[in-house]
Order: sequence, then structure tokens, then C-alpha cells
Amino acid sequence: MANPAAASLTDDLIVEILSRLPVKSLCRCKCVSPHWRGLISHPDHRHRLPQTLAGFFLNASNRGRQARRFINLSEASRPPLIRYPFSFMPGYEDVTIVDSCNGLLLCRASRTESSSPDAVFCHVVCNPATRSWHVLPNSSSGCVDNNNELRPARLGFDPAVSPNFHVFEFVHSEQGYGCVAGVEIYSSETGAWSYSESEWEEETHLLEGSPSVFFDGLLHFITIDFTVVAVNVKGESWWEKAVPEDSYDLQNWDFCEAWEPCFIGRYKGNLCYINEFYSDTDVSIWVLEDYAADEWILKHRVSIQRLTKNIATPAESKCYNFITVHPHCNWFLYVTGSDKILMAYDMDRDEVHVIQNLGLDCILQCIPYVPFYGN
Amino acid sequence: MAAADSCDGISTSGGGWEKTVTLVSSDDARFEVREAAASLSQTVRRMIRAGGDGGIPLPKVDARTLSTVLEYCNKHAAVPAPAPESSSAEAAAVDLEWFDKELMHVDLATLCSLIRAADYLEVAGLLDLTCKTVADMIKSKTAEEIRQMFGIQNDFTPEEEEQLSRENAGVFE
Repeated sequence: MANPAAASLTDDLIVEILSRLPVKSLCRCKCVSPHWRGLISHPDHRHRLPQTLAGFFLNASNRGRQARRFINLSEASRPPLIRYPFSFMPGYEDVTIVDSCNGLLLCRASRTESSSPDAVFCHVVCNPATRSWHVLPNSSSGCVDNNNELRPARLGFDPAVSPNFHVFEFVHSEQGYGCVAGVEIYSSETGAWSYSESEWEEETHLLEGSPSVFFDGLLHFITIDFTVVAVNVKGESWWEKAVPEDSYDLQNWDFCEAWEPCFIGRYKGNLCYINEFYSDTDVSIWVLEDYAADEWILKHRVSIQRLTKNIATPAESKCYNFITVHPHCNWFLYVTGSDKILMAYDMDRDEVHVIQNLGLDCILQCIPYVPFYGN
Repeated sequence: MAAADSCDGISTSGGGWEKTVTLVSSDDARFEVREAAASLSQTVRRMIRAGGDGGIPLPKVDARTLSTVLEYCNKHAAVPAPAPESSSAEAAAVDLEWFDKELMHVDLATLCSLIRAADYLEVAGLLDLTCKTVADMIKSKTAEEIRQMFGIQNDFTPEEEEQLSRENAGVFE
């Protein structure tokens, strides 16, 4: 059984082989032996190996106090992979993570300067895995609108396509009501912002607390009017589409009842839309396989009772928060119960898994994080 | 075996004069190879530049492995860079792909010897090809099947094993 030729491969050559595996197989290889597990997690090798969802940056409250931290997804017993707030970004008093995309984080940071009593906001894009960061020049308005409201900002980065990233800052119309007038897009290639006027419906109002999804050069957002909208990194291509028909019931829609009334993500490479409005008792998962074919396909439906069973009391059963669709296995992750228990629903196998008890009162924001060790 | 007794020099092949070099395996087999093919190995290329008599010794590669490496180098060095998008370029690419696939029809022990040889000789294309082939063999196997394949002992403690299965239940089965 022992294979002398195979056993004679050096660590470097084993990593050479492992680096050519898809991430799912690589995770399985961690269970081969302590030696292989060590090779896979070694800091010298990480930049050569594909990475998966490592955890979440959490902004929450615990017994009434704000708690900001990083939650390791699979290695709850180990010290966190990343310490947050980031000590490697000196000089900033307050750093808030706004968005994450393929290993980079978009942060809003403030700094008080001697010339002005007010704190100055700026956007910083950082890579906590390599401890590198890049301060963006201010867009025309310095993160805020005329009425002093922060503009919704998002990040677009795909190292498989380009080493450059883009930051989108949505500009509200002057009439107010939070409607989008246009977008300022920063390109790390040119180091400059450029403004494009919105070509979406006039009254498009983004659901700013809900996560956006970036892939194929398009940033997708959900709106409060039950549409999904997208804009490309050049601000030239604007797309919009109604969410699946019958997937919501406007009459009975109650903004206060659900923390995230609906949710977009990526499922098997396609845009997916998850919501609970098909009926009061189910969550349904729809996929848009072909933008041109214009058709949402219902992939799964699961009862809310099943997602929260044995975790939440019947009264709390509606209290759950979607967090993300796992990038490498077809799970959506959510939090439920009074202790905020992190759970996963396996869409392929129709199984519910408990991941860990977060032990928090309330989750305000939960940003998924996949490390990127490249430059 | 394609062992040749001639020394470094000039020989005719393919109707033209081509410079050849002699490579000597760990078990003293001598291979006469076109310099263009041998130069796909960065290690050999450096040794050619350094000069020397009586052939280039490669003490880390046996004759069986070296002959496969040279089969790869001869084939890949023979292909001239064709105009991209021409039909002949396409045909050559298909032919090379087929050749690579056939060359990889060997057992794991041979593949591992080839990986070590490609690494030592610095033949980037062959290292990629062999590593990809082994990665494809591992891809859909369970941890236990991989252990059997490589003859690796499962030396996780029961506690570690339990922890691992918990972690993986969290993310991957």
C-alpha cells in the first residue's frame, strides 16, 4: 500500500499539487494528515492555495454594548484569523467595514485634523490578509450627500479578472427620498473617480442595508420596489429586473417584521434571490440562469419552521437574518434564536446545520470574508 | 532506450544541422538530445552555458524517468510558434494536448518521479502537467482514499479527528 515514490515528494511539491485543486477538494485534504493540514494552513503557502469563506466581520450588540469582531467560520476554538479593528491602519479613530469583495474590504474611516474640529471621512480599501491598504481620494462630496447623509458605497474586485478594484458610491437625487441619481466610480487603475448618471428607473431606491453582489464586472443591488438592479464598473451599462412574480405580497409586506426582507447572492455562478414572501411560512430560492432569457427559476423552497426548529421559540421563528450564500458549497447561512446561532441550510441536500452559537443580543451587520493572499 | 554513445557534437536530424547535447542519467545511461529540446529544462540550459566535456550529469534522474522527460521536451520543442488563430496552430495545439494526455497514462509512482524530475530539471510545462494530473486524481477522493493512494498514516488523535469532522461539517462534508 505504501507508495515510496509518492512518499518521497517534498512539501513544496505536495503544495504544488494541492495548489491545482478546487477549494472544496483542498478542504478535504486538510483531513488527510496533520502534516497536510499544516502545509495547507502555513502562511508561506496560503498565497498559492485557493481560499474559501473564512468567517464574518460582525457588528453587533451584546448586553447593550457594541461588539465588533471577526468570527471564524469553521475553527471556532482557534484564535481569530484576523483581529478587528485593524492595528495595521494607524491614524484612524474609527474604522467601519462597509463591504467586502473577494478578499478586499471597503472601510469608512475617520480622522480629526488640526485644521478642522470635525472628523473627516474617507474610504480606505484594505486587504487584512496581507495587511496592505489604500486610501481613496475623496469623491466630489467626500462620502456624504448634500443633506449630510452617508452615500451607500460598495466594492467590486475579482482577482481572477483584474488586479484592479472599483469602488461604487451612489449619489442620491437632490429631491431626496433616497432615490439614485447616479454613481461615482473609483478605479484603482486610474486612481480617479468618474461620475455616471443613473439609467435605472427614476425612483430607484436601493435597499442599502442589504448586501450587494459583484461578479462578471456588474454590481447587483436590491431595491425597495422589488427589483434587482445592476451597474457595471465603467458606469456604462445599467440593468434592472423585477424579482420573481408572486414572490412577494405587497399588501401584507411589513418592513419591520424582517431584518432583511429579501436577499441576493450567488448560487452555482448565477444570481440568486432569496425571500420569504412567497408565503408566510416558506423561504424560496430563485435563480436567474440567463439574463437574456429573463426568467427566474424556483430552485428550492424550505419552511421557516424547519430552518428555526429547536433553535428559536415559535414566537421568535420569524426572527432570522440571512447572512450570505457560501461561495463554494450551496449553502445559505443565517442567524436565528435569541442567542443568535449561526446556521446553514444546504440547498442541495435539504439539510439544516448548526455552526456555532454567537451568544449576542442583536446583529447589526455581518460581512462575509474570503481571504486573498495575493498582491 | 534511446541511449546514444556519441559525444556532444553536431549531428544531422530532420535534414538540417542541429546542435545536440548528451545528458547522463543517475544510472549512467546517455541520451543525445537536440539542444533546443534539452533547453526546455532551465537546469540543463544553465549547465550548457557553463560548458564541460563528456555529457551533462543529472544524478537525480534515472534513465526511465529521463527518457519520458525527454520525450516531452522533444515533442514540445519541435513545435514552432505558429501564427495565432491559424488552422495549423489549432491543429498543433490539439496534437500537443493529445500527446500530453497519452504521456500521463502512467501509474502514480511514475507520475511522482516525473514531478520530482520536472522540478529538479525546471521544466515548467511538465511540472504543471504532472501536478495537474495528480490533482485530478485526488480531486474527488475522500481523505481516506487519498491516504491509501499516497501511503500516508492517519496520525490524527481521536480528539483532533472529532474536531476536524466538526469543522468540516460546518463548511464541507
